[in-house]
Amino acid sequence: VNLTDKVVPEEGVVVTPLQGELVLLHLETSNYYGLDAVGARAWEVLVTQGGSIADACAAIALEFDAEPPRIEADLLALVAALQGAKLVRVVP
Amino acid sequence: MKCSASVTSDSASIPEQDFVWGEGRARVRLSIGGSGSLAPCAGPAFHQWLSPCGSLRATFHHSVAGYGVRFPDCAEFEISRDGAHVAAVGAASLDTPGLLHLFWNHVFPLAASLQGLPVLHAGAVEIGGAAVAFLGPSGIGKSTLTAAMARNGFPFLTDDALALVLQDDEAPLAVPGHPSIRLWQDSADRLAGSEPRAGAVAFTDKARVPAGGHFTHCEGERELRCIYLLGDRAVKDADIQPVPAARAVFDLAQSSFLVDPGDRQLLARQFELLSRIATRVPVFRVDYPRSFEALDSVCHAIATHASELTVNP
Repeated sequence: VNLTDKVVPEEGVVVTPLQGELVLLHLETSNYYGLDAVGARAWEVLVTQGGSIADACAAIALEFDAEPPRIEADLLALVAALQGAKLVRVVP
Repeated sequence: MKCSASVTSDSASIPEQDFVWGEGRARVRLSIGGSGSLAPCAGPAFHQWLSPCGSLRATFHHSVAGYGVRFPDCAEFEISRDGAHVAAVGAASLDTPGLLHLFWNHVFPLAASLQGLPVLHAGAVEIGGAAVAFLGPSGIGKSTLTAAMARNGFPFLTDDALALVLQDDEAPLAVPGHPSIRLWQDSADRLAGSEPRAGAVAFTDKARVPAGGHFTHCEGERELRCIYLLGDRAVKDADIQPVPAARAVFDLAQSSFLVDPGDRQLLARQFELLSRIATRVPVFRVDYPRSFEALDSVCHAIATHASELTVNP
């Protein structure tokens, strides 16, 4: 996974926002997942707006109190986790 | 394990009966009859229920008409895809009250969920004109806490299966369930005392205490004020903490009746319903000392907490 990558949601993933966070359900596996406020913002940029991981990092750096290297590392790990859970597909 | 299902003469005496949950919130026509196993339970199981100790409680099977639910050595049920019809076959050792008990506590909630009614594994009582629910896995203490609350003057709506009716822009309505509480013997001895017991049923050691005496049943639907997730953390006094809505959805999903978790349509509908519930109803985790001596003070703490929510939502 690279910062220039984008992601698209896998088929069968439903998402609902709840009080600033996101809950995701994979209909194929029946597994539930949660994204906190930072993850929810990343999902918005990546999935809703179609931005790259770098775009999501920039948005989060503006809105949350964290250093860019930490944000990049966290978002790369988040996308890898989402990919591993078959919630998203990474598009170079 | 073979399910030795055959119809007892007692069961055969009520071949078909309509059951209604609440004021027509869910309706099921139950047919009892036939001999031998129901065909749906002959195929492979796609899902199962386990007891807290890990023993097999029920298996779920697909059928042409809908779903088969098999309680090993006790009974088999077939639920139509729309949840409106249920066929049952009881083992020779299971009398009609036992079969109806299984139906009412386990199968009717599944059928109701197929009719679009979200049903939670939860006890519920009335506090200040509203309902509060106690949620958690089997064995966590829902029935004991529900009974203790009832004994402290808060009428119970249900001890195990809570149906909810969602309303636009308002908290859901909690629908009363069967007017009895099932308790393990030690809880029954401490909380029900000399209250009359219903007849024992073959598949469980729990005592059934019908409503009456100290246990008043709330028979009307009540707005659901809040949900308490029963925790098992060791504490000296009751400790009540809010649970974020996004986290609460996980707990609601784990405590929901759902016939087929692999059915995308059912799963998506449940997800939508539970998300709406989590948005509209505050959820709290309550840890409390696990001793009968502490139960009255736990009930008081919960009642005070819920009442303050009512005043200052």
